[in-house]
Amino acid sequence: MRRYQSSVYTLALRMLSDEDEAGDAAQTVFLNALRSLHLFRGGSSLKTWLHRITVNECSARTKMRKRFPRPSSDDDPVASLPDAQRLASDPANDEERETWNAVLQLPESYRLPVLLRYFEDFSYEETARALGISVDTVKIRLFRAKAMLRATLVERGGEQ
Amino acid sequence: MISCGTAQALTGELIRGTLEEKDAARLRGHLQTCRECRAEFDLESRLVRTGARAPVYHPPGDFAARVVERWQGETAKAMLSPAEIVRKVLADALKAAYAPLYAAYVPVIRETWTTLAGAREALREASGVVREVLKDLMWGRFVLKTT
Repeated sequence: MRRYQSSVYTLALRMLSDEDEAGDAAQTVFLNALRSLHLFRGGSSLKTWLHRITVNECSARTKMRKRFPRPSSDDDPVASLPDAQRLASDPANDEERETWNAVLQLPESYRLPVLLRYFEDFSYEETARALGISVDTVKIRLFRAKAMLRATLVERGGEQ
Repeated sequence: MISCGTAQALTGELIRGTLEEKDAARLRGHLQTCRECRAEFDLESRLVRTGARAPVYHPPGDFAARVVERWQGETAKAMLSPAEIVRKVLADALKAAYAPLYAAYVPVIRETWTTLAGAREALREASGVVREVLKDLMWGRFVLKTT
């Protein structure tokens, strides 16, 4: 558990943008993993399997949040993320901050492949397994996500 | 020359440094002439750079202890004490033994009950007849006495 707890927590934090909820989700991920450890056949790595549980848990929480919005849900999710706070404190990271903002504003189905592929350094196959979709779907979503990112970044670049 | 499709497929490998030098040289040559692939390359390297610099966050120090605590709480709930286990086994055994017994004897009990109900009805009818006869006899005697 200690080997993967940071990786699971980081992904949960990037998906939920809330430290408390990410901590709770990560705990639930490990409990679910312990409950269904007997079902783990080793078809993928333990890390990929844990990430798949994390994606499912966080997606369920995100859906719940949309159905029953909390009073603080009007806050900017990008600004509440520790990455954004870190980047905001260092003006030298303009490009990184812009990229982060653009990634976090992508719709969830496009944001997740980007997070797993570029931020968790997953292969296409691992990303597909973690999301429970085919490799081709991962490639299509990444292609569309990059088109959206390019449009957002060009638009922002034009504004400045 | 390589096509744009191949160039864009190999872009990631070039950035990650996993592309063979011969292919890398061809791809670099293509990137110098193709604006579209250059834009793809720029975005890909931007994402890889941002991803590589993104920190890993650590959960609170007591994270593992909390998970273990929750897990132990769950397993303790699921576990029964020895007395509860014996009670449950006995109850299950009784239930299992009683079920076929019940199934086998229900028709017999029903039949006996119907027979008994019939006999009771017959007895009631007979007692009515006997009562009438007795009544007649009493009146008969009475009539005989008075005459």
